[in-house]
Amino acid sequence: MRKKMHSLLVLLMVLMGLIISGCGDEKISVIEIPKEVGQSETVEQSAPIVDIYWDATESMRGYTALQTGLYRTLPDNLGEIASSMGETHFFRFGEAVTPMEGRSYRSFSSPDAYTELVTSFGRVIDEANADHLSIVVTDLFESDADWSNVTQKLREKYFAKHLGVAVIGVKNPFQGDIYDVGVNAAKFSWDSGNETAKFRPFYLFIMGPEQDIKDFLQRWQEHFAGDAGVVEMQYAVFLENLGAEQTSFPDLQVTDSKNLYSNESLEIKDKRVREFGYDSSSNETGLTVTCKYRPMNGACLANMQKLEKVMQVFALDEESGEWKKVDAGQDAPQIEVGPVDGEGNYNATLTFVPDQAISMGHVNFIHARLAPEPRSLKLPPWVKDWNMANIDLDPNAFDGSKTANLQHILESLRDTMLSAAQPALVNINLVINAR
Amino acid sequence: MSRNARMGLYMLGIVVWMGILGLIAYEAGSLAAHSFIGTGVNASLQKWQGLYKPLVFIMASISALITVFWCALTEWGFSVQSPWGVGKRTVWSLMGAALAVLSFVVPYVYVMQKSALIMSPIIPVIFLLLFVLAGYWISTIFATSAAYKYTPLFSSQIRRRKGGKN
Repeated sequence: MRKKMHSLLVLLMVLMGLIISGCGDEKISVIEIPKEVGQSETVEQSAPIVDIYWDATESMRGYTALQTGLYRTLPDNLGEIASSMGETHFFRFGEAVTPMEGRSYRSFSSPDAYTELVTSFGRVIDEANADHLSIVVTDLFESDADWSNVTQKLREKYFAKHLGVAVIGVKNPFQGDIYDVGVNAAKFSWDSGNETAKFRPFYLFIMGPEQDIKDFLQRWQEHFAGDAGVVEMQYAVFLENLGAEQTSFPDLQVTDSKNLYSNESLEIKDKRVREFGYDSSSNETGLTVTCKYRPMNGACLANMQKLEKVMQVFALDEESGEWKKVDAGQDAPQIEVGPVDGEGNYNATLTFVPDQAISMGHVNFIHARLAPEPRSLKLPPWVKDWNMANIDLDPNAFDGSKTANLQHILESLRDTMLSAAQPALVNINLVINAR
Repeated sequence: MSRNARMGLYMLGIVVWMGILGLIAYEAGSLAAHSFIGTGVNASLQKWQGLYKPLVFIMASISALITVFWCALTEWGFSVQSPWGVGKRTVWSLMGAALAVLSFVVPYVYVMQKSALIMSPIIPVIFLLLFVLAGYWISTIFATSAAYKYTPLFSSQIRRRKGGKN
């Protein structure tokens, strides 16, 4: 009897040990977003470093000639906005890029600062640090050849690394000469006087991490809120996030699901990624999220009837820590898009059968993206109005209130973004632990 | 071994057995939760388990307490002329019924305190099966003192089949 009781107790202890060990922590490593999908946002962002590059060529001098307008106070205003974001450095550029000491950048309010003869935007991009927020103040006068060189550099340094570009156009009084216009490098004089219709645009070209660009644009708009209606300002934004809000977790609202539950068995620091578990590996599994298409001011406009559905599945190779693509063919997860209501709300539904669509025995990453079809992304309408297209064909058509080749420049920027980056209205990133 | 020592050992066994049933209830509940916790941001399986674990502990403790109390009554509390006015099986049944009721009441009272815990009727059913049937009933069949060993329902069939002596 005593022996039996003893054996029973030992058996109970072993059973308890087995059950307790089964409840162990499953965390294996920090899960990061696959490189093919985007950059991980695993750390809290620190204050950005802002580098401001000022075009010091003679064509810019005319913006300082008249006492009115925003340009003359821009050095102080820009310095103030940038300093409120983080450490700020000023540079002047013509053919070369030169750092400016102390508050010497204030000299850009005066015509004497503009002595350079050649504009080399490409050199600025070469010297810019992609981790910083770089702002270029320029009149965007570049030849086609120069510009194709610039877009190539932007592709490699920014868009291919999931970084963004934004352009702010500001119309300002102008009195002076404009050099190197068009293929014939013609020189024109322009005097806008105080006629707002003749004000000449200059541009801020902003490059860097998307969040820093959005932050800068918001601060800029707040700073100049009092000038709304007085100064004509326009925006063109080339960011991967086209929808502005509710484009990825944690902003996406899950409104319906089938065979899925929220899981936190793995350590995922990137808030754009959510882990789910499935109840049954052979049942149809679905997740419906409510998305909102509300493009930010200046964003390229997507045609909601022409969306491309991109689906990628990766399995984690635990030995190398690398994501390997999973090709499930016809069984790959599918994404369906519902109709868009008047406020831009629509549903996107992701469906798959776990044991057919993902790699069982591994940690899987499912990336679903709704992207605009090639050439369906429209530039903001102001671009056409500010564009001077035919200057090479007809020098008499010169209009100083417009920018030569602006449309071509911004279209090439948009096309570069479309080919090198992954602009999307919605990014659904799921991790499923099928180990 | 004296009767008291043996009963003490039985009581220890009851506590260990309820602990094991608690672990099984935790795992079974977690498995069942896959189907009802949903995909809310604040309702991951791990967060749910964090809230569910104390509930299982409470239920396992209540179950152990009632079962041990029954065994203590049969060893030291009951006499032949019971002042209780009812039969021993009635007492045993009432205690089992009380535990069954608590299996349903405790989870829902607990949810009123911890509103973040998503509850499903499957959880009280798990508690009923594990803590009342596998816990109270089976434990009392084997741990009731020899004087009242046939009081728990079907005890006579099971204990006789085991050899009949005990």
